[in-house]
Amino acid sequence: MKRVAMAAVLVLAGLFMVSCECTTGTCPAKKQIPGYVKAGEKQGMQVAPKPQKSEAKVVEAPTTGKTPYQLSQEELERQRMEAERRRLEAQKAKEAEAKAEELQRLMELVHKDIHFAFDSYTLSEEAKEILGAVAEYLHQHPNLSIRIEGNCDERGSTRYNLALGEKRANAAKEYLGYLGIDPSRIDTVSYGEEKPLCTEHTEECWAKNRRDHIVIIGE
Amino acid sequence: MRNINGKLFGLILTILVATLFSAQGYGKVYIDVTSPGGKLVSVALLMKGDPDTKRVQEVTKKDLELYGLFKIIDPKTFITNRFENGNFKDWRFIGAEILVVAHGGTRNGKFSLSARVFDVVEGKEILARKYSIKREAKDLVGMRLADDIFTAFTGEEGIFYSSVALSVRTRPGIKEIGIISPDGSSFQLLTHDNSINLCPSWSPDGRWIAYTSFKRGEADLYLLEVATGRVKVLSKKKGAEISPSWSPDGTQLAFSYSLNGNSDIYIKDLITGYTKRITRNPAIDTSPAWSPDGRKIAFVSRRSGAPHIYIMNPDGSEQTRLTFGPYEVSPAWSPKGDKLAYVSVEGGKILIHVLDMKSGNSKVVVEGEDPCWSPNGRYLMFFKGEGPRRTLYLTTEDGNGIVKVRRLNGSDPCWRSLQ
Repeated sequence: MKRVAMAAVLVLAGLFMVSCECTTGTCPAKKQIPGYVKAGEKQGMQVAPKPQKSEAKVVEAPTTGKTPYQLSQEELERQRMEAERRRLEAQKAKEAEAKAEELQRLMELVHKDIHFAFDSYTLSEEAKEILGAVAEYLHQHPNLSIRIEGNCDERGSTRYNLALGEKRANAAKEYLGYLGIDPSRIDTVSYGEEKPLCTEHTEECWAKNRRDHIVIIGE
Repeated sequence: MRNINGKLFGLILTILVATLFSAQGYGKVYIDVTSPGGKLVSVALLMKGDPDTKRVQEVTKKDLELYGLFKIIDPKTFITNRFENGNFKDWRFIGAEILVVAHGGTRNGKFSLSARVFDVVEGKEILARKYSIKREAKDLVGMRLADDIFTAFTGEEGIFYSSVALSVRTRPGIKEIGIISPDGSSFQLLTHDNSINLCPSWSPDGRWIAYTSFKRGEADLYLLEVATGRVKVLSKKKGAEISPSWSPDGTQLAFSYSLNGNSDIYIKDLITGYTKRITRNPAIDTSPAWSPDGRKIAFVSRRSGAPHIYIMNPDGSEQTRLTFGPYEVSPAWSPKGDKLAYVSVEGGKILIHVLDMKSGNSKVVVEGEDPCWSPNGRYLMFFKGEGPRRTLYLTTEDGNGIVKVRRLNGSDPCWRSLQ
């Protein structure tokens, strides 16, 4: 992203310089580059009714003195290099974006929370299904690691709930281990009752908060 | 949430108290704090001086009322606004049983108050004291005067000239450590970590607060020096270290630690730095609470399928179950060690119980959670309600006279013990 931003700054800076040149009355650079371009144009514009003297002079320039022509060539080469560099950077940025999007899509896929009964860390059949999908995903992306975050509802003490969240996160980790995922790829943390998804004080809300949340932490 | 008007706490600014007179014994001690719910004792507050004195009078009035034992007489009913030695007639007439005569004021940035306390019924002076402190901390004089009146008539230590550490939710998912005066009048955040900071525990000397913080991503233990705000790492092992509890001599810290998802109880020796494991159980063991005599540790274990309160020796021997309800957490020893408060959860019903350690009898005190004893063992501070309605309350150990301390979305109150 930083590179894209830098490239954008460079382009803007370039535009700014050009426009600066255009505002200055004499514009020596303008004489060269447009002159060269106009030479090309001229071929396709033979019918131009009344070429001005100054233009003729410029056309002559490449044939009479070599320096302006060489300068133009160098300039052109520099511009081409610059364009190529920008194109590569844009491509890289695009690739990174696509990768991030893919990661995001996969994250959503495995982002289904695993839910628990009150004061329980036993995995339900549904929880095992979700973990099955997570395991498959981790098999497909052997470079990725995950963090499992154990959470509780607000009932009970902050201390006991921190301990219970540890059990919940670890239950999922152990099951993934059973499905063949290397435990070193799985980090666990318990937030106890400190990060509720739902802040009402109803059984429905409590059920949503008793969960393992899985986060992909990259390669 | 900042500290209001730069008010600070007893632990930072010391109050100068000169006792000019104190009655031998307590004269007629007519308040029995062990049998609350009786008739409130009427107090006339005759305090004169500048606006600072008025403010201090308000604090004294509020704190006396929070004790749940006193009733403050409306000054409009006063027959006289003067007290002449030996003339108790006018005060008896309006029903006053205690008369507080005081005058105060601020000079050169220092607030001073001279106070005399009379037993109107007996017609004699009980106490004469002079207090002085930096003007910005003048509220402490009001707290201290209320405490001295309480002490003079009950024989018990006062509770307001102290400070309660707690964990406060400042934003969703963020908790900081703060301290609050026990009457709720001043509150101050001690950490600004933008993290989850929990389980504050005062060191016995009142200098440090040990607590749990997630500021490195997972739960570790830290020590905060309250006077300076300096923070030291106490333990940052891989895995979660939570729920510190000091040994009464301040040399050891019990806590629970979980490496592979199962928390057990450990003790760190603060002198040698050596940590030893105390419980080994595949079920959750957490929430250690060191008994005031240092000979027992109460804790929460899930070893029988649900959380219950257990007790053991500090070397891990003689682990015994104490509670037999459906779900019990949050053990908290009374300062004398004769009682253990805890919390039961059944459905949405959350209750505070007090277990008498001698008789083994347990009774429900109040609806609420996170019980914390006042240093004199006569009151319990606790939280009740959730979210924006969550409030810190104070009640007597029997659950009588429940008073609101302050609305606060927090947890884990811990009262600084007296020195």
